Amino acid sequence: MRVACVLIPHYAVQVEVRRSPDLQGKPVVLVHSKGSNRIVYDASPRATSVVAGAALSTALGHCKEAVLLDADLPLYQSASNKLLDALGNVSPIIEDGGDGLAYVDVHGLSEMYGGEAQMVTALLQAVPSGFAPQVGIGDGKFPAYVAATRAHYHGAAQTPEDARTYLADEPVNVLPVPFKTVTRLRSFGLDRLDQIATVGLGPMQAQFGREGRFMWELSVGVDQRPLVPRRSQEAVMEYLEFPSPSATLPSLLLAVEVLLGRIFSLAYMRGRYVRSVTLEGDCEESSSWQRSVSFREAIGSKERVFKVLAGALDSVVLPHPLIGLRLTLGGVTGESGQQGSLFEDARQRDQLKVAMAQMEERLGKRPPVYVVREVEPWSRIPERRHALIPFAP
Amino acid sequence: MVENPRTETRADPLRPVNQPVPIEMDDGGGDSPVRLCVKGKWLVVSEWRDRWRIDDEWWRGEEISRMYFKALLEDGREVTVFRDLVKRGWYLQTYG
Repeated sequence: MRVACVLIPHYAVQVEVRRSPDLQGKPVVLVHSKGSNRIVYDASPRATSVVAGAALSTALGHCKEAVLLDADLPLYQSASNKLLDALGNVSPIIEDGGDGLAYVDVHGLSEMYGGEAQMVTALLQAVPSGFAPQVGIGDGKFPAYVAATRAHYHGAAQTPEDARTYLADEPVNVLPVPFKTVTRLRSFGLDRLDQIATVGLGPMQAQFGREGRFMWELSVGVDQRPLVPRRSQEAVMEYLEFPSPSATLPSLLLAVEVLLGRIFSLAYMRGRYVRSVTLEGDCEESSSWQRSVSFREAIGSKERVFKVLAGALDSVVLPHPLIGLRLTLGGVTGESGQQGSLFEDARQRDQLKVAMAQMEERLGKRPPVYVVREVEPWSRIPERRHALIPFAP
Repeated sequence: MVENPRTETRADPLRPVNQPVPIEMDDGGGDSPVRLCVKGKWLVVSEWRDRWRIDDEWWRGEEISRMYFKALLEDGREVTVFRDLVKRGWYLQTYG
C-alpha cells in the first residue's frame, strides 16, 4: 500500500505562532491536564529535550526559560479539520493521524497528476499557508511517517526498498506507541529501531505482548495497519459575533437560538435532520471553548435541537467571556433517526424498552411496570384468570 | 438465538389481578343486603340484577364457596360483590 504522510512538525505550536506571531523563535511549551497531572502537549524545537507526553515538572527541568501556554485543543482540532479538508481535494482517502499529521492513499495518484513529483507538489500546495509541511512516501504508514520526519520543510522524502536499513538509526520514540512503552524500551537498553529488530520477534513479543510484535514489525519496515479513511459528514455552520463579550448562560442560549434560526431557515435544511451539534466559542484572552452534543436520534426541528442544547448547556462554565460563537450542525441527513417498524407491536415494544431503560437509569432500580397476562382464563374464580408480571420488553 | 438480557435472575412473584376487596355490608336485618360500604362510603343497593354461586377447589385444603351478586348502587354504578360462604365475609370484586 503506497502511502504519503503529510507531517507538520510541532503543529500545535505552529498554530499558536500563527495566532500570536510574537511567539516565533521562543521556547514554547504547550501544557494540558490529564487527571491531576500536567502533561506537555507539544513543544517548539527551541524548547530543547522537551517531548510531548512528558510531565511538566520534567519539561521545566530541561528548559527553565520555557514559555508555558495552556493547550487550546479546540483550536488545534479546528485547524486540523481545515488541513484534512484541503488534503481531501488531492486524494479522496485521507486518514486523520492527529494534530498536523495525515496519511494519504496515493495509489494511482501519480498517473493522475503526471508523476510522483507533481503529486507531492499538489500535496504540499494543499496545506494552508503559514505552515511548513514535510511529505514522506513509503509502503505503509510508519515508513512514510519516518520519511516525512527526514524530509526538509516544504520538501519530500521517499523510503527506499530496504526499509529495515533505512529505519535502523531511528530512535524508539518515533514508534507510534505510548510514552510509557518508549520509557520501558529504553530501560531495556533499546534506544534505536535496529536494536529492536536485532532482539527478534520472539523476545519482543514475550516482553511486550501484542505491542511487542507491532514494534518489531515496524522496526523492520513492515506496517500492516490499514489506512482508515476519514469519514466526511455533511455539516452546516453559522457564526455570530457578540456585540460585547459575554459569559452568561442567557446570552449564550440567545446566540444559539439565533444561529439555529439562521441554519434551519436555509432552503438546504428543508426536510433534513441533524445528528450532532458543535459549539465553538472564541473567548477573550485568545482562548477558545468547545462543546459537542450528539443526539440519540436525528432531529429535524430547530425547537428540539434548542431544547437538547439548552439542557446540555445548563451547567456550562465558560473560561472567559465569549466574543463569537460558531455553531456547526453535523451529520446532516435526509433520514430521521427513528426507524419505522413493519409491525406496530414491535415498534411500541421498542419505544417501551427505551422508556424503561431511561426510568431504570433515573430510579436506580427496575421500574414498577407490569403487564397483564392470562394465567387461567378458563377459571371460574376471577382472581385466577389474570396476573400482573414485571414487564420485560 | 435468544439474546441474553444480562439482567439479574430472580423469581418475580405473579401479582393476581382482580383480587377481592373486603367490604362491610349492612343487610338491614332481612335476607338480602341493602347497603354496602365502598371506600368508606355507604351506598344503598337500588337493585339486585343477578346472583350465582361458585363452589370450587373443594379437593384442595382451602375450598372456595362464594355467593355472587350483581348490584346496582344508588349512584348508578353496577358492582359485583360476593359473600364468602366459608369465611363468612363480604367482598367487592371486579368480575372480568
